Amino acid sequence: MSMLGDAYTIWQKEMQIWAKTPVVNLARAFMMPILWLVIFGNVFGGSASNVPIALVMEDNGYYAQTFAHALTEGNTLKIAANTNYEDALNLLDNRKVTAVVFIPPTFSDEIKAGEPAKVQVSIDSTTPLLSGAVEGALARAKATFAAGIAAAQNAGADGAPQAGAFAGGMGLILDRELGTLKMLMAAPIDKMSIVLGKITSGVTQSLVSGGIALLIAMVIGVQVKTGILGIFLVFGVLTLVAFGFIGMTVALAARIRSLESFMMAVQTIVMPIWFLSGSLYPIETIPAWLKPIALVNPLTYATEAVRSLMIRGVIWSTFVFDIAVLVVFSAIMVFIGTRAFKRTLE
Amino acid sequence: MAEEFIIEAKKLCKSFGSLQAVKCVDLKVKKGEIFGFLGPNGAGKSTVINMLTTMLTPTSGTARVAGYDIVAEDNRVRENIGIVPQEILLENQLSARENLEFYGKLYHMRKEDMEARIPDLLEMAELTNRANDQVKTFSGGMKRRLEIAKAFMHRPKIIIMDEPTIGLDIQTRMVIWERIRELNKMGITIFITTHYMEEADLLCDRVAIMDQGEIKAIGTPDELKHGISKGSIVEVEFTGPQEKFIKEIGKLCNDAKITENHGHVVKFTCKDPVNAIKRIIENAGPAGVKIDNVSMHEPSLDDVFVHYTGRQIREQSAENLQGKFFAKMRG
Repeated sequence: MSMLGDAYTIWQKEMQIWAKTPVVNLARAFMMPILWLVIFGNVFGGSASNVPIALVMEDNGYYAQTFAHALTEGNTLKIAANTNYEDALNLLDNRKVTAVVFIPPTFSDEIKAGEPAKVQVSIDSTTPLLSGAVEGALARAKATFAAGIAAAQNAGADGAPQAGAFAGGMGLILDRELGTLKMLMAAPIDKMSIVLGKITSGVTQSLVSGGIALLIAMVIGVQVKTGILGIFLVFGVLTLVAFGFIGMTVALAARIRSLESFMMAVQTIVMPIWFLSGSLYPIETIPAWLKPIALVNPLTYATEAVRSLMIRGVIWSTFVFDIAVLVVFSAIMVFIGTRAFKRTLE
Repeated sequence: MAEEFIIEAKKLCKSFGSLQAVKCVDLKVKKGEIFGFLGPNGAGKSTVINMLTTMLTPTSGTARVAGYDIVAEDNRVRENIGIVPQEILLENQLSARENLEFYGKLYHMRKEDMEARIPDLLEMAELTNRANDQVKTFSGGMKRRLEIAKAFMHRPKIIIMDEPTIGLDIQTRMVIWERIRELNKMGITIFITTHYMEEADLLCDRVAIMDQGEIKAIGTPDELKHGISKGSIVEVEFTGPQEKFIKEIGKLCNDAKITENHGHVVKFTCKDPVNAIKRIIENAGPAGVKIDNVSMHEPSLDDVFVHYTGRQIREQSAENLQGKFFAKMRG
């Protein structure tokens, strides 16, 4: 039988095992995006809503208006007063409002000139939850303003790499610990088919997780801007990302013998990649010295591609570039992963 | 022509760096026999097995298994052997049936063939009523039985078993011996490594003793036992001047051959043990020695093992474990 046939046998077995614990796997697939939505979307906002603030607008230009509008999105903040600076500070002192947001007259002009625009914020920090809410809402408003989208809308994009990372490499390490790898190695099959079967089953599991995340995103009202074709393309991007990251973890699994060290290595690599991909926080808001990392981060391009498909609408030239980056990344990782692992099998 | 030797290794060597794990071993296993492979830990048994099962490439030398070269025709070799490893290599999450199915697919069995075979194997493993339960719910003995049945799934000509009864209680071991005999009666050659000497003695048609990368002795258990001694083995436990008394034993029975000497306990072989014991007791008083215990027995494979390796297999493994433990503590 061919190598692909053997790889299919292994894929089938992996999926069979995966399907044995549907509750655990579905929970994992559900929990991740929900965690991202609920925790990362609201971690700074707590559960507070309609926190009163005073807004001082010394600029009524287009950008200032947009920013003011972004402040109240999500109902965390409520503009209790639109007034002048002095009155606003009085309201703050009398605890009528929790914060004062001051938009200076130069705001719109600075943005038009491409310079960093500043707003001034005074917060009553006696109530941590409320002041936290203001800071959170401000952070989100900034995010919305800068990237043009809300952080919470990205749930669909990010399911694949995390789930995939664990599915691919961890399976191989567990197999080695449990000795099942030995059984595969003693069978009359090509060693390549073992790695291939493991990688493809990891990718499949990632796609199921990604699909569920996408479904949740759609249920809560995220619309896929590019329609049915867009959904297919989103899955295409997820597939590439999953191949890339699983290839990476397989390469790690080839080098690392214990499960604990492997988990640590994956966390050490995956967390920064994830945080510096623009998936949770816009790249525009991260410190300058971290930006180069975000620019060479393949997940940045995946996030960008999925967002353009789902939210912003596709600019094809950028999209093709994103896909090219991902194809190169995945190809390199799968190549390194299979080679490294095949070597340990010999 | 039917091949008489189903496993035939010629000058098979394996080195890991500067360590010569297997030093040019010649080995022939007859078709249809149960062949025991004995040796202390680190003797090179596993390395030989790994080479014969094509998991390791020999540094030099050749071997043919079931008529196929282990290097050039490795996949043909794999198709013809079933492996029962030391550790349990079942998928815990899958059921007994699913494990057998997966294994059958790995060996490219046809679906109808698998469907026909699985019920028989489950019955053989006495797991028919647990066929659809996850393996993780099985006891050690059940897993072992399934592991053996699995190795038999693709109708191999040879089954290679690495310590198949290690750590099992005596009843379970006896059940497994029975299975092994049944398989053997069906014409399957069994190649088995074991730590249990009585197991090798009861089960095997022929045994080989390996130590320090070499095969020290090979033959039927009887041949080996008689090879080290024409007579019986006498064990004397005593208190008193040791060296002098041990010399005395040599004089008292002129064919005595000391096999083990632990100071106060001496083992020797001789043709006329009854006479030897009589004389020893008579002469103990004058020699200033008090005899605490005397016994005699026919030579066992244990004695053969000690004879060729200079140590007892269990002693050795206990020391080994202890050594590893302390090394770990130090390291």
